[in-house]
Amino acid sequence: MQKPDVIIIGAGINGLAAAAALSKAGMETLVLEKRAVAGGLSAYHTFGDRYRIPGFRPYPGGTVNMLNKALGLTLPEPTSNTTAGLRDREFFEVETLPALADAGNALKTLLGVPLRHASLRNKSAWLTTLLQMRIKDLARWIPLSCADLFDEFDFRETQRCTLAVPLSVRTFAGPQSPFGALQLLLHATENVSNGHASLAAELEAVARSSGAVLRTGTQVKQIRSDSKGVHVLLQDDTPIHTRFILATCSPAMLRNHLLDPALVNRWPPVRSRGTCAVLALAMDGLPDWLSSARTRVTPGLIAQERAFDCVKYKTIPPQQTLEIVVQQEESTVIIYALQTPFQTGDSWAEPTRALLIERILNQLPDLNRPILAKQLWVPTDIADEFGVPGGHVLHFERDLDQLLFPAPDCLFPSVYWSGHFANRELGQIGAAGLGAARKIMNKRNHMPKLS
Amino acid sequence: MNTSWDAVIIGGGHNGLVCAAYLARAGRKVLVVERRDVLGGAAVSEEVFPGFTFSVASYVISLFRPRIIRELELAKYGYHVIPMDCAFQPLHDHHGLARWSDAYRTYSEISRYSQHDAENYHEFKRTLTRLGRIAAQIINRPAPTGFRPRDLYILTELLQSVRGLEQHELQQLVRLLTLSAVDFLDEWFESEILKAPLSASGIIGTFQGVRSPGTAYVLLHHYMGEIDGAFRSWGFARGGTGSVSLACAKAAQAHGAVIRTNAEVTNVCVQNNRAIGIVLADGEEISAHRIVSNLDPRRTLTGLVDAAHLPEDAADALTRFKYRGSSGKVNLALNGLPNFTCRPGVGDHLRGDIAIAPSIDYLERAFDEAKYGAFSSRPFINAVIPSLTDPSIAPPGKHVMSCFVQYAPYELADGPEAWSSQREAFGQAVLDTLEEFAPGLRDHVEHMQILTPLDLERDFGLTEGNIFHGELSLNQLLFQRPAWGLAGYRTPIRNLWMCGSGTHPGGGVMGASGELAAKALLRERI
Repeated sequence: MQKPDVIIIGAGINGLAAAAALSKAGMETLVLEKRAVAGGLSAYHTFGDRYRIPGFRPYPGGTVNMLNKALGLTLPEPTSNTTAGLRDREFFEVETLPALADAGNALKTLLGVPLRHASLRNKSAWLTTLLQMRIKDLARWIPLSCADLFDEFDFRETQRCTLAVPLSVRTFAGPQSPFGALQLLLHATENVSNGHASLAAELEAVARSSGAVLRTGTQVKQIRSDSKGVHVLLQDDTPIHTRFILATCSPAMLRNHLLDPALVNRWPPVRSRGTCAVLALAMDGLPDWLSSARTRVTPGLIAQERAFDCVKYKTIPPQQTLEIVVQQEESTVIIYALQTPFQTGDSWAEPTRALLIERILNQLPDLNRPILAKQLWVPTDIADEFGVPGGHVLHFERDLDQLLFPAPDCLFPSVYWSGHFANRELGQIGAAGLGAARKIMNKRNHMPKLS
Repeated sequence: MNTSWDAVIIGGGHNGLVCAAYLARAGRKVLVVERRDVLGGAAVSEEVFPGFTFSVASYVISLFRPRIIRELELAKYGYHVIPMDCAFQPLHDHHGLARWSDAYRTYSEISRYSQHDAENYHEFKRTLTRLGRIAAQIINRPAPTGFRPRDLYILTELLQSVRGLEQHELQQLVRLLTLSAVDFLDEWFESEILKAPLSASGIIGTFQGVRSPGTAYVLLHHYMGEIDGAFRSWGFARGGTGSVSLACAKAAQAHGAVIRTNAEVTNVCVQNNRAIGIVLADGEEISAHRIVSNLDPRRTLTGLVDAAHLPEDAADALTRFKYRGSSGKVNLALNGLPNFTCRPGVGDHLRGDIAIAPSIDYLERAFDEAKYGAFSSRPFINAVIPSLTDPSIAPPGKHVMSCFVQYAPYELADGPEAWSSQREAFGQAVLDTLEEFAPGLRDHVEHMQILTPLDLERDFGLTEGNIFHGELSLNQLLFQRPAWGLAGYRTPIRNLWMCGSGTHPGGGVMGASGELAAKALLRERI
C-alpha cells in the first residue's frame, strides 16, 4: 500500500472504529500505531508476565449502540455494575442520584450541538431543552464547586465524598474548585461499567477483515502538507503520501508534536494534567471485603481537598481517593489512585513510587493474601507509554472551553482530528472515530484521486 | 400616611447616591437615608486619626462608569481621579518588578526576567482590552431577565457585539469566563514573577485562589475600566474614595434630593404585598411611592422586611446567594515611607499600587490556609500610598498607607465571632509580611486601623464582609444577580427595589447598579 486513501494515526478504539468504517466503505486504510499492540488506553495490558488489566480508564463508560449500528456488529452492551463505598475502613452503600443524571443529560444535549454544523434533529432537541428552562438550573449549577452543588441538593456526607471522586479523573480540580459541578453532571450521565477491554480486539478483527492495514510499532513524527497533498513523516523520515489523514491522538500530542508550529499559534495550549496513577495487583485469591465489582475509597470531602492541595504542589497526598476494580476470574485488582500529581519534585524516583504504593495500601483494610505481582503506572508513565502528553487518561481536561473548542475548526484541508466529532454523541463509544470517518467519506466524493 | 416622597433610598453608598441623583435629575422627589454620619458606604473617606484621612474601605477607582460622570456632570461637583502610573511588585532578591504606563519602561523591566514575556506583554494587554470592551458592554446595560421584547432587544445587541468575533476570539472569551487566572496567563507568559501579580488581580474580593477556575474573569474586570477615556487605568480619587460619593451626593442635592445622615432604617412597611414606607430607628415613619434599597439582597429582604411577606422560592434563592467575604483592610498612618530592600529609597514606584505577590505558589498557599478557616499567615497585600499623589490627606511629611489584605475568611474555623480575638494577630501578620520586603516599616507606623471581615460587616453593613455585596462568580452575575426571578432591580414585594452591588452588574465602585436601577425605575413612570 504505497499511497493509501486514508492514514489513521493511532489504533485506539476510535482509530479502529474509523478504520473499520472507512475500509468497509471501500477506502484503502492504513493505521499507524506507536505501540506494539492496538487498543491504546482501552485494551488489555499485561503485567507481571501473565496477568492483565483491562485498560487505564477508571470509568470506561458509554454504550456500543452506535458502533453496532455503523459497523453492523452485535457487540453486547456492557453491564453497569454496583459500587461499594469505603471510608475509614468502613463500608457503605453508594447510591445513584437520578436528579444529577437528569440535569447532566440536559447539559449534554446543550453541549452536544457544536456552534456550527448540527443536524436538524439535534437542533430541535437543543431548542426543546433550552425552552424547558433547564437552562435556568444549569446556569446556576455549572459554575458551582462540587461542595456547593452538594449543598444545593442537601446530600448526606457519604454521598458527598463518593460523588466527588470522579472529579479528579476528568479535570484538574478539588471538591472546592468552581465548575466542579459541570464534571459531576456530565459524569452522572455515564454508564459506569468494568470496561470493554475485549472491544479493542474485536474492532481490530473487524477492521482487518474489511481490508484495513494496521502497522504497529510505527510512530509518526509529523503531519506535513505540500503541493502534492498531505503526508505523514515517520520517525525515520520516510514520508507516506495520502489523500486524508485522521489523527486520533490526544490534542496536546497533535498540537505540540504532530502539526507544524506555525499552524497552531492561535490554538491555545491544551491542558492535560493527568492526576490518575494505576496500581495493578495480582493476588492469590481476593480478600472477602472486595466483593463488589467496584469499590470507591474516599477519605472524606475535606481530605480530598487537602489531597488536591498536595497535587498542586507536586507532592504525594497522605490520603487520596481510590477507585478499585476487581476482575474476579483473574484475581487481579486494579487500583486507580485519583489524586496523584503528574510529576513530583524528584521526577518519580523509586522511593517516591514505593511511598505512593505504601500510602495506597495503607488506606485499605488488610488484603490478607499474598501479592503475586504488582505494577505501578504513575501519570508520567502513562504519558510515555501511550503518547498522551500530561498523562491524562481522557486525553485532555474536560473543562468547558476545551469541550466547546477542542481544536481549531480546520487543521489543514484533508487533515482531521477525531476529537472534533466527540462532542456530538457524548457517551457513545467510538463516536469520535465514526464521526470523523463519516466526514471523510463525504469529502471523498468531492476530491480528485491522487495521481 | 401622607406620602410626599416619590422615592426613598435606603443607604447613602455611591450606588444609592447615583440612583438618587438620576431620579432627582428626572424631577422626582427623592430622600436618601443613611445610617452612619458620613456618606459613601464603603466608598468613604474618613479622618480616622487626627490629620490622616483614609479611603477606609475601597481605595482605588477605575470602573466608575464614564457615562455617569458625563450625565450627572460629576466633575462639576468635585469628581477628580488621578491615574496611577505604576504597579510595583517587591521581591526578595531581585530588583522587583514595576509595570509603568510607559510601555517601553515596562518592556525593559519585564525583559530583565524574560524577553519572551516582555514581547508578549503588549499583545496581552491589547487582547484583554479588546475583550474588556465587550465585557464593558455587558455592564453598561441592564441584564436580560426573561424573554420579554426588551430583553430580547438587549440580547440581540449583546450577540451583535459577539458576532464580529472570530472563532479564536470567541474561544478566548469562553476561556476567560471559565479558566483560572494562572491557566490563562500560562498561555501568555513564562515568568512566575510576572504571572504572580497579574494573577493576583483575578482573586480580589473573591474566595478563590489564583488556580481556581473562573478567576480569569475577574482579571478581565481589571481591563474594563477607564479614566478620562484611557482604558484599563486605575487611579486615586482626590480626597479619597469618599469624594466620589460626595460628588454624587452634591449632584443629587443640586437636583433637589434630600439626604439625611444618622438615620437608620429598621423596617420597611409592607401592606398587601406593597412597600409603602420605612420606619427609622427613632420610630419616625416615612412613607414613599417607591422604596429603593442600596443594601445587599440579604439585608434588604431578610433584614428590613418581615419574613412573612417573602415568597418561599425567593427566600430560598436568598439563602443560596453566596457572600463569603475573603478580604480585610489594614490602614496605616506613617511618619515615613516604606523602604523596599529590592528598590531602596523614595521613588515613583511607591506612587502606584504595590502588590505583595512574590509567586503563584505564595498566593495559592495563602488561599489554602483560608479554605480551612484561618487567615493567611503570609497574605496577598495590595497597598497604596495615596498621600504621595494627594498630600492633602495626611499631615506634612507624613503618609497614609492603605493595605487591602487577602485572605481573611469571614468564616473562621471557630466562627466569625473569633475575629474579635484574632484581629490583632491579623494586623501583625500584615505588618510582618510588609516588614519582610520593607524592613523598618513597623517603626514608622503611628496608628493602625484593622478591619476584619467582621468589622466590614458591622461598620459598613457588608454581609459576611463581602466587598461586592455577594460573590462575583458566574452563577451570580447577569440575570442571576442576586437570583433568577430577583434580578432586574425589582423584588417580590411591589414598590421595593434594589440598587446596590448585589444587583447586576455588581461591585467595584462602578455606580452602574445605581444608574441602571434608576433608569429602570424611571421607565416605570413613577
